[in-house]
Amino acid sequence: MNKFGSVLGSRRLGSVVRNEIEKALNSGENVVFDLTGINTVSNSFADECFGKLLIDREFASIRKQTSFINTGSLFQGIIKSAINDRLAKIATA
Amino acid sequence: MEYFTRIDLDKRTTHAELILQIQPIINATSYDKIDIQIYIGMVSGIVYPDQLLLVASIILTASERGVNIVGSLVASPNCEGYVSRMDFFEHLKILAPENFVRRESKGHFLEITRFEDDDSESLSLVDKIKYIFTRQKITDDSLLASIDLVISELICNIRHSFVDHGWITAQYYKAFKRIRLMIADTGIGIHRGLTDNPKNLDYKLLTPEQSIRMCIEKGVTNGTGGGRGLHIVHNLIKENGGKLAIFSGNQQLQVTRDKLYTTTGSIWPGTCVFLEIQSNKTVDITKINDGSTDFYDLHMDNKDEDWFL
Repeated sequence: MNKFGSVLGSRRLGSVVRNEIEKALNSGENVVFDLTGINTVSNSFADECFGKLLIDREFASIRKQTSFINTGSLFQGIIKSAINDRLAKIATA
Repeated sequence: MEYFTRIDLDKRTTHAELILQIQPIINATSYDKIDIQIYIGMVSGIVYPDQLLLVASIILTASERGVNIVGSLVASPNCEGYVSRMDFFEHLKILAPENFVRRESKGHFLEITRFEDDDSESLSLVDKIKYIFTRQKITDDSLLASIDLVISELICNIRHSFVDHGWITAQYYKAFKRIRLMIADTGIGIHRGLTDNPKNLDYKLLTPEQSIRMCIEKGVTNGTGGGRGLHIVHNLIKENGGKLAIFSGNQQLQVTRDKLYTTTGSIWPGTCVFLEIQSNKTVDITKINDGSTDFYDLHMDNKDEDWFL
């Protein structure tokens, strides 16, 4: 992930990264999100990049094709909470 | 029409007083001419960068919409160099020779900076502000991570104001172990943001005061974001014991650890967030970024070791 910079903060950047992830997932690749060298992951970025993957995909299929490494508890919390909020939106839509 | 206003920038001037003083500039239209007299540091010899930001951003915004601005400026010799170093004169295109050697700001302050909506350059500001803390040998990881999170959310927040740029400045005060920081935009503001095409129809009937009180609650959003930005800022101040002030429209929200109150005053055209953070008070980041994971845990059956390796 650090090829996108050390601050993963904006929605615009989140959208750029999500487009790359979707391309990889569509071609059947497995994707490993390595957060080595990342200083910041904002809630906005996490929602745009990871949360919005749930708009067109089942959570189970995303889990099958992806994994996270070198996240640390703070970034894990932010990513889980972004996914949580999307799951909640889908459940209550 | 032709108007006149006097602006007194001094550490004793409150943000609310300053917004009142710049009101004629805020209200001016492209047919108006405004004569401004600016006095800086004339009482105490000290001015805060956030005060300079309020004035510079409003004058430039008015100038961009065609208001004819003329005037004069007098600065106390005690703070003239500081005002210049914070780029106040440069933004206003005032020729002021600097009788000092310009040194790197890194680690001490962030000059008054205009940033564009959501670009990578803007996000480098997060690192610059964090560096102010690390340079001062503040190594509290939880506080630093919280500041990272809060600043990046605030910078991204200008997108929700439907404006293409914002303004930021920061200064560390070693003697008081505090940083003052301001991020402002001249967009649609909080009340319009929540009541124009609201995500939640209940928001449509919110008054300006209700809107500014609600904007720090979790999940309150106009639909363009997740409603976390100002909520985590509020959490940081509650945990850290600093100060938060939000100015938007004619509403002003002041928050400290124990108090929260609103006042009605002059109009800030957009949203302006002021923070004072104590550098020697640790925080618990899990209380600041208090996201829920109940749905996530349900889907994961509380087992995600094979996903977060």
